[in-house]
Amino acid sequence: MDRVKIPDYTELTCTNLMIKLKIITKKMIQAEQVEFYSTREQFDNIKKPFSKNHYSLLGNKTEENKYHVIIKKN
Amino acid sequence: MFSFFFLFSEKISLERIDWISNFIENFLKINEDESKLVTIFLTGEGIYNLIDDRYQIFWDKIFSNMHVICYLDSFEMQVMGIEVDNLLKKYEFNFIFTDKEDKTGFWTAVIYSLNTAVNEPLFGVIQFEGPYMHRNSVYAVNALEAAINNGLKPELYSYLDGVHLGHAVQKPSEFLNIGEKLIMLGESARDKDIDFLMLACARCGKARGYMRDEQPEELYASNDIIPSFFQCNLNKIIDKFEQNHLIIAPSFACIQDNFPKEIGHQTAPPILIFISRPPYSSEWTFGGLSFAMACANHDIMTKVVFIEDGIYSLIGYHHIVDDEKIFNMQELIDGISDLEYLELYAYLPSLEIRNHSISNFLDGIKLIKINELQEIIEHLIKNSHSFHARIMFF
Repeated sequence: MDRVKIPDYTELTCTNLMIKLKIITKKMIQAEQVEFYSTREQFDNIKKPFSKNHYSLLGNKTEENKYHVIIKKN
Repeated sequence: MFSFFFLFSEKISLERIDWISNFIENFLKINEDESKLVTIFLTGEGIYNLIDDRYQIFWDKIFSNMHVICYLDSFEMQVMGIEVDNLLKKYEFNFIFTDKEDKTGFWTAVIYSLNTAVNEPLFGVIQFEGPYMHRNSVYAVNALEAAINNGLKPELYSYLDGVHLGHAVQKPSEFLNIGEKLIMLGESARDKDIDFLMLACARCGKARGYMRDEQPEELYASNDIIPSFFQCNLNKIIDKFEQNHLIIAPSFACIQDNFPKEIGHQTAPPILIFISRPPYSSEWTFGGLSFAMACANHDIMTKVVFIEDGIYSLIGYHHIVDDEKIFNMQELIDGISDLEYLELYAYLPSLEIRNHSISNFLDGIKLIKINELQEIIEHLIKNSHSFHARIMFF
């Protein structure tokens, strides 16, 4: 089965990525997760808000300025 | 002692003067034993609010109280041909006229009045509108100049169309050259050994073509922008809002506690953001909500009140297709409603006079009337360890 392509959000500004993620994660149910590619600056920006209470966040550097990010709703 | 400040450089709507007059009346009436003062600063088209007969009933209510004073920009009154005598007849004891020969005199009065309690060496101006279409770009540079003249470190934060202030090679034929003026202010500040920081939101700058390539550094400069005018992540600007200095805007308000309970243990000043425009025809609502979200993510206590035409974000069911490339404002509102440091409110009278109600699925928004608005604003300052709370209109 084809794996769903991971969206690349590296072109989004940090603010717009944050808004997009807030909209996506608000609709997620418990244990559901979202994954995407971000830049280092984007990853630094979302670390704090998505490390609180309801979410867990994981980021792996894949290229010089690219991170594979997974946000899971706890 | 609580002091409340309003500054308007634009003609405000009848609806706004109505709720502001009720707010001021309540503010001064509740807890009459507490010493309270309301100061209103009017410049530019904000002065027209005073001479419009339709507004008199509201000004009568406001100025019937001796604890209200109003600073008028005499320099701008001359420009607009407004006579002082006519105003004095009615509200003589409430008015203070600034020096009509000094274009920065009004802003010096603003600085002195507002900075007394805060007493910070920094002074910030946040600008949402660009030059030439809007004369408030001139007021912004006048305010920055007044700050330098008074030995304060000026900081300019440009957001939305405000990023155009830093456009390189501006050449207006009949308008103050804002770009050149900012460069001159930078030199004037340097001569006095004062730092002058200018930051512009990179999201807004990128959309408007100021960032041709990737942004390797935190502060981005280019040939399209005047020297020392840096594009940066909005969070860099919000870092500044974590500090305690005054930050004014062409239209803004501020509540100050002149004798806070604990001195020396200050936290970031809380912020209240009024969303007062419809959701999609301009960037105001998106800009205001993005700004609120960024503040809340910085652990700044942030309250958002949808008021006046801002309530249109809350009615019906917005359906935005992907091709539109805009955020669905209702999804955005719902998405940010669970932020720990953010509270959302809707001003019920604005819904009622338009005969609308909030859509059911937007359940994170609390309806408020004037008394609750009063409480929210007073609690901003009472529940914080800050000298003041900032109030901005989007």
